[in-house]
Amino acid sequence: MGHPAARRGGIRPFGILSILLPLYVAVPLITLLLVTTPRSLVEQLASDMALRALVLTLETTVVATVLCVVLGTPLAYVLSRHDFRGRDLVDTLIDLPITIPPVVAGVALLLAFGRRGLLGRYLDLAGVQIPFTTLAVVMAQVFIASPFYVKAARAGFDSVDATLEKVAGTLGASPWRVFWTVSVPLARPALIAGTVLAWARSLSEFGATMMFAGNLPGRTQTLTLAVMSAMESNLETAVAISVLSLVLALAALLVAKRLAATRSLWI
Amino acid sequence: MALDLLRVKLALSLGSFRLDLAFEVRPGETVALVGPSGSGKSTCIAAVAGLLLPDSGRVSLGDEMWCDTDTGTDLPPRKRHVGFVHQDYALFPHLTVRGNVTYGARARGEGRAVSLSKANEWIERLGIVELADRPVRELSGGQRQRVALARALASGARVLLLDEPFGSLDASTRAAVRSELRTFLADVRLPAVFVTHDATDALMLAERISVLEDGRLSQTGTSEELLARPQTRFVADLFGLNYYRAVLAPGRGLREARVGSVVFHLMTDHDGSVALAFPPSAVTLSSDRPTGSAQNSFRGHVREILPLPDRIRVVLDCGVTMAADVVREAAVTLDLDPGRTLWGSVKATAIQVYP
Repeated sequence: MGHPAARRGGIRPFGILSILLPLYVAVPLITLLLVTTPRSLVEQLASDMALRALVLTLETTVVATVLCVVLGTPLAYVLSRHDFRGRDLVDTLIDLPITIPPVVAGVALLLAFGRRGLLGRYLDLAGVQIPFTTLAVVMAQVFIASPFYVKAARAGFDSVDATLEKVAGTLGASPWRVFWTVSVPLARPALIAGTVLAWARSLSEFGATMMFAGNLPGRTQTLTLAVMSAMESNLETAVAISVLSLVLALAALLVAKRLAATRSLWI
Repeated sequence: MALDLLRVKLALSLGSFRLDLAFEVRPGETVALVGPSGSGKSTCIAAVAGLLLPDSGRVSLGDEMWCDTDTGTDLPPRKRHVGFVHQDYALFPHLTVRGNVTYGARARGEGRAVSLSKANEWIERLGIVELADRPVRELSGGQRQRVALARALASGARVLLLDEPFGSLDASTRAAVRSELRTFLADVRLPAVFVTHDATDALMLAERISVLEDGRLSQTGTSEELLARPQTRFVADLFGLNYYRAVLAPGRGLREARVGSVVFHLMTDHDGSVALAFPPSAVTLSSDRPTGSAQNSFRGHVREILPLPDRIRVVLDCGVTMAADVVREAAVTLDLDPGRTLWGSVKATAIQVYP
């Protein structure tokens, strides 16, 4: 409920100022669509570089998102339901990848998992090399994108009334069953929204991937890296891949919004 | 369905609050745990359900030990077969009525068909067949309660625990739901414990009432026993009784007892420290000094006038505070008004005197 006065008259400077930011976001994005033609778009996206980048991106982001969900869901549930020593620490740690520059994350990953890195040197002895592989792309994406899933999932579990879980227990359900039949279904919209957000963040990953996985076509060159490479040789390709990324991001946002709204059905 | 005795003995501390009590519930008996908020009544049934572990104590049903802190026995809630009906019923919002009622049997490992037929049986018994396929968010308070009961019983509950079962109902549906629940509890013949802060709920529903004050049972008995002989000021207040304490010199028959600045005339053979109790309905009000046979007449002024559904309660300040109930018509003939001077009289034989 807004204030009646604000609804009727409004504050005029606010009205004008609040147009600026949406315009500022919209203009470059629309420009992106204007400088290309559908024909050029199709041609450029059919190029070897774009196709390989697209396939690699879909593969890596899907794997990364699955990893975020598999590792993030139990964590989010524990953070939501249990108060333990060091919870705030874990909470902060999990949020950190959102705030640190992705390039820094990439350097950190390299120093940890590189051939001479803290863990990497042992992996190297075992014959496993991670940097500059497709696996490194996935790892960079999980590192950067997982907080988005964990935060959303935790908020989702927080919104589930713990009484319902207790009652389910008195009705004979094991904690495992309670989790799957009460907690997850009730947190589902948040879990799905978190999944979509984590996927979208994986899609736009650049800095950490660049540092840790490099820019090798077919192996580590995802869409964002392909745009950068294309900018140096063929602007049309860069624009086409950018438009494609824009469409994917928009679709992800719409799906996330849609799912967030269905939450109200259950309250 | 086995009919077993529920035995509970608990002690636990939560911060500075300490709960320490013991009670039993016979099969088919309904016990009310009555107390003010913060008296520990919800904590108590949570411990019976296994939702929290007491510091020490024992909970058993029949010969099955649910919790014994001496031996370290502590069955999880799911193995206790309690039907826990939460204050706001805690129905699963993502399931239909039938989905809710089927939940317990499924959770206990029954097949789909068996679970469904069990659920349908209870859905029918509680008269919610026409609601069965509705989402629970569309239900009214009374309907929710029936679903919660059906869900608890279809899960094979052998004890019913109800936490403020009328707490979230409005006054208009409360009476109807209460009598519905009473019929139902008599029908299922399970030990049942319900928690309430409302004396009417307890009087209407329970065969036995246990009053909980500050984590301890201050009195347990039938409604008649509690109404006739409240043991504490809280119990008396709960049922709206007049209650005083006095010290009697040795003697028999008609005696005098001083309470505050007034003297009561009593019929009793008790000596020493005694309690006096009588209901407001035993007090007669009049504008002039009464000439009848009542041995106790006190002059005082009206402090409060409380309209009740079928009568008016008048609180009189006459050296002691005394409540009197009069019929509505009397309000006119007595010219009831705060501050007005009236006489209140009670027969000596109407006053319960007990140690």
